[in-house]
Amino acid sequence: MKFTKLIIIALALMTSSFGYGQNMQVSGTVYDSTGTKPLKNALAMAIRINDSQLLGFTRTDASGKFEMNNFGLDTFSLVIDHPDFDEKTYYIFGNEENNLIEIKSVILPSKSQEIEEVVIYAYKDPIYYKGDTLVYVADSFAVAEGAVVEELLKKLPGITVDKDGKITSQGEEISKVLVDGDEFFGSDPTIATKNLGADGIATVQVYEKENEDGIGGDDEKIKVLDLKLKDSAKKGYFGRISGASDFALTPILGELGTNPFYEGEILLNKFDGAQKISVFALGSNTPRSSFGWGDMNKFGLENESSSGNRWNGGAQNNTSGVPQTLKAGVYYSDKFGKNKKSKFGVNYSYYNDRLDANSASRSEYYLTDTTYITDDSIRRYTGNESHRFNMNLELQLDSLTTLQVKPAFTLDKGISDNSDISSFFTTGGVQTLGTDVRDSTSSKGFSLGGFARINRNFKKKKREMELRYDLSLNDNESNGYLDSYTNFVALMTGDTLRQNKTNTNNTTSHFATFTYIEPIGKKMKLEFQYLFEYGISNQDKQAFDFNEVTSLYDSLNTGLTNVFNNTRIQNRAGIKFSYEPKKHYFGVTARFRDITIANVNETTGIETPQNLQNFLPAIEYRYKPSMSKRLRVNYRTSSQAPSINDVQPVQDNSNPNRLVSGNPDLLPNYMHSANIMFNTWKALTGRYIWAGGNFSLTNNAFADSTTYNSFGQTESKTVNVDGNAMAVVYSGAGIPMFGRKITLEPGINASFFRFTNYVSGIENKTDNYAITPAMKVKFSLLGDSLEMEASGSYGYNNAISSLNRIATPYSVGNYAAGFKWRLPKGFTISSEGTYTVNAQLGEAGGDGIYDTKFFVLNAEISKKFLKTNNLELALKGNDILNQNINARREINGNVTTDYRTTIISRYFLLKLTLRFNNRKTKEEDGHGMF
Amino acid sequence: MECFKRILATAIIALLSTASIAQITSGKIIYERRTNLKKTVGDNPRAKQFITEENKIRKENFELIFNETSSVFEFIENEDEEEGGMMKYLTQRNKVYQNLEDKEFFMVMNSWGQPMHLKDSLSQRKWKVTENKRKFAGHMCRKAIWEQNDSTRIYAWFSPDIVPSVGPEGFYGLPGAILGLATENGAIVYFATEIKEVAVDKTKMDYSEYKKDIFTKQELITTLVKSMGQWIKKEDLEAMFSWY
Repeated sequence: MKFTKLIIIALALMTSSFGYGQNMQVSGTVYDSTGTKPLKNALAMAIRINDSQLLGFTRTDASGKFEMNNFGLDTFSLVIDHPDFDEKTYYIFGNEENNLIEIKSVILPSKSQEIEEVVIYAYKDPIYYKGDTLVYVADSFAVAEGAVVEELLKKLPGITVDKDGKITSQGEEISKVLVDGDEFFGSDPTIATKNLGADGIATVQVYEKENEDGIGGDDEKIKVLDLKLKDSAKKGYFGRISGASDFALTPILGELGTNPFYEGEILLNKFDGAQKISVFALGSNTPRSSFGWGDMNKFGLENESSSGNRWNGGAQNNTSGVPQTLKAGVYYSDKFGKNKKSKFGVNYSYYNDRLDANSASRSEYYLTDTTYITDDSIRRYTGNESHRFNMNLELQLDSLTTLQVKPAFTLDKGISDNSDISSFFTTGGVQTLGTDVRDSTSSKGFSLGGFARINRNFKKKKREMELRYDLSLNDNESNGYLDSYTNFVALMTGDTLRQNKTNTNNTTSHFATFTYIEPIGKKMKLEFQYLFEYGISNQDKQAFDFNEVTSLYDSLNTGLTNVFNNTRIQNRAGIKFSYEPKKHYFGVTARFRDITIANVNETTGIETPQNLQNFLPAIEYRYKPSMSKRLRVNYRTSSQAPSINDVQPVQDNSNPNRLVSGNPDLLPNYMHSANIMFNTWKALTGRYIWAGGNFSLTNNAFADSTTYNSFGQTESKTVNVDGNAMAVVYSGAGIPMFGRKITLEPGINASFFRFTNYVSGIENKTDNYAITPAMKVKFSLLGDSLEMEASGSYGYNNAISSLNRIATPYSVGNYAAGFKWRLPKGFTISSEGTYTVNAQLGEAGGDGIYDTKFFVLNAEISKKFLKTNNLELALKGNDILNQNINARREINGNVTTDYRTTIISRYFLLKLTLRFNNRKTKEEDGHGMF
Repeated sequence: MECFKRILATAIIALLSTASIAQITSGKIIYERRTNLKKTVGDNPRAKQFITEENKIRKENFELIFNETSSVFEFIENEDEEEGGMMKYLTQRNKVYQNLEDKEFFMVMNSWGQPMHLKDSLSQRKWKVTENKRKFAGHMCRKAIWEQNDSTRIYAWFSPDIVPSVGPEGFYGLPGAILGLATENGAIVYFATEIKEVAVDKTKMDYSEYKKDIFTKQELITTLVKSMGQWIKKEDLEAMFSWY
């Protein structure tokens, strides 16, 4: 474009300092190229010369006149523009004497014929000035793959690189090459330009800088070239290390210094572009036994199973006994190939967990004509050690095809040592039987699993094809010793059982799945799927009785010895139709399958073949009117095959009071389930409501058929039953008030479960009803530095067994209060107390092993140190009043069992935590969401 | 004779108006917005999971209806649009009224599924106008730059041919309507695909029907920081309003 530039210098002197409080007065009249016709709506704009800032603009009126007086004294260009003409620019140097500019006649030149195209590279100028810095956007200049920075520099207009690597910019020599503003391994510029890859550079910036290396007093400026790296080219690390102990100062049974409590952890991540290496370790003898969600996310520990939830990134606590945990591992992942679209990841983890659980339990067995009561004192000690290897390889074969291979290998070793002292009573409280059973087993095994899949997309959007193979292989062998003594109290006789048992299990399943998705228009899809499964299981059980003569376990017990095989072939074909108009989703699936199962008892030669066909339909509907409101309804059917333990006909006598055997005639179950879920949430007020329900009906469900002997000892066998049902409804809300200083969170849930079992051949249906209302109030005070919370819930439960119509109602109450107060100077104090009331209601049963009340009080004080707050010292007290117990109730058919397990109660920890990163900045813990 | 003169005059006017590029003072501009989700979502690990090379560019259309003193900017609902699951929540679709006379704007935000109403005075921005030019929808535009903060710069291409100083979202105040808008890293780009010169019904630009729950920008930020602060960083919430 041709510019006509005029310079008006009304005063010869141009001063750099302008007076303030005085405005420019710029006016003029704009005419067409003939100089006769005034132009309406022509643009007049003033742009400051040194930084291009727009000072003001206006339009001409019908008589071609414009006037601007809304900016101060300045040096600026005045651009006059009209679409029918070429533009005209004036450079104006305003000062106190020259602030009144009147351009009487602005005659716009006619449009020049050769209009120069201004080239823009993808909305991003390849070269621009930012202040005094000249910026080149590196991606705009193509270089060969693997090229180093020097080759990139040679491509940049205005920059030359000679054969020695010397760089000049607009003719001036570059004295220094910086990387992200810092020197890169010394001051020789060629180290950076010849070693760094060009693809890691985001921008190349050229600017002047004070020469820090200059001789004293020398204030010369040097020209530097600064290579700004892309995020992906960056390297670094971050981590957290913490250690905690009570230095054996927690009194245990009134004694000090017996057994120190400890917790220790290491989390470390080192990244170099897409390459990531994470190392973790956790050791404790407190309930803390895993990392939380936030840590998993942050450190990429994707195969470390973890519970906890997204709102509370807290780690899982093991409260089923007295645990001891050690786990450690290393993760490596990287991306490679074109656009880094292919991925590789591998990890190894080691686990060593022990759990010592001492429980007391009371079980009541309701029969038609009588009720038995047994008291058990149980100790279960388990130790597991395992090594896990996982690998994941995702290869982008071409732009539409992906291959993924994800194998996993686990090596396990375990020991368990259980002892159970049981006493059998009549309802009258007369003891009839006493047993003392000890069962210790060691096992080892391995499993290999994983999948390989190839996924192909097509030019046609949403058309997709996938071929997938899954493998699951388990091999396990165990060797156990059973030592059981039975005292028939009434008969004044006893019985001893000593056995050695071995069990070898191996299961292999292969699955091949082919899926094809064809879009119909933009909103409909058809999905076809075919699955083929082939599975074999083998179980080899051997039992040897102790031979008093030889003092060896060398007498084969044929009744408990068996070799059993199970073969399973499944063919399943399915079609799914989905329709997705705006805000709605409808899906209908129909699957049909044929299963052939052959159970072979190798010892007896008896075969039980089964062949069955199932129709498995499913329907899903979703409605999402906005991000904060959603409704989801679905109905599904599924069928589950029994495990080999459920079909193996040989008795498991590891608890001689409770003999269990499988059933080779067992059929797969068939379950109908329906779910409904609704939620709504208002961002401004923070108010939310959610509600839902889950319902299911299971036919051919697996259940126990139990017979009792005169003492109350049982023999059970797994059978199929119809009509097991479940209904759960739940609802909750959050209601913030007084500017969120107080939030109310009411909630309620109710449930109904029906289980069927057989008691001495008679069908027994047990119905469990429960309803639990709850309320929580949260306070946020003192500018959110003080948070307080109080909550309460009361659950009413009742179980009615059809066998004898005895109802066993009970209640669970939980009442809690707590606060967290962040004080100045890095101090935080927090405490919480929970009061639990379990109560047996009504007349039936219950002399109160379940009835209990206890109050657990926890408190913590911590202080953060360092400028970054990255060092934290905390003193924690857990269950300061030493009251915690694990009391729970299990209802299983006509049996109600109440347990009390000894768990870790009071302990104190002094904990030191250090968080760190390579940037020496504040390092935050990862949190669950995003 | 009288009749002939009139015909001649009409012919000349007709000739002149076709020869010249009309200056537009009211009409409708259709913008296409392209959002590079990989760039806007950044390092957010959960969002990253469902953004692929294929779906990373999200295209949406908006219309800007304007006259000399006011405008309304609104998302064009597209029946054919594929429901992208979470994807559609990764971009904002605000309805923005600009009133240049009263230097006021009104916005209906549809964040988290709820309309939030915002009324405040139009933000003053310091623009740098460059010599750089390119055409959008047949109109030559000049590039202007606004430094949102130390690290973010916004490019706006305005056309002096379209007289009102209006623009998409909360952008205005350049010597001509903004036909192109882009963040420096190219993460979000608006460009005019169609410009129609039409008389505009003033009622379309009237936002007095909104009477309930109207916040100022600062009030809304404060409210959201309180209600959303536990999930969304304060800087990110503030950034949602930096274009208004």
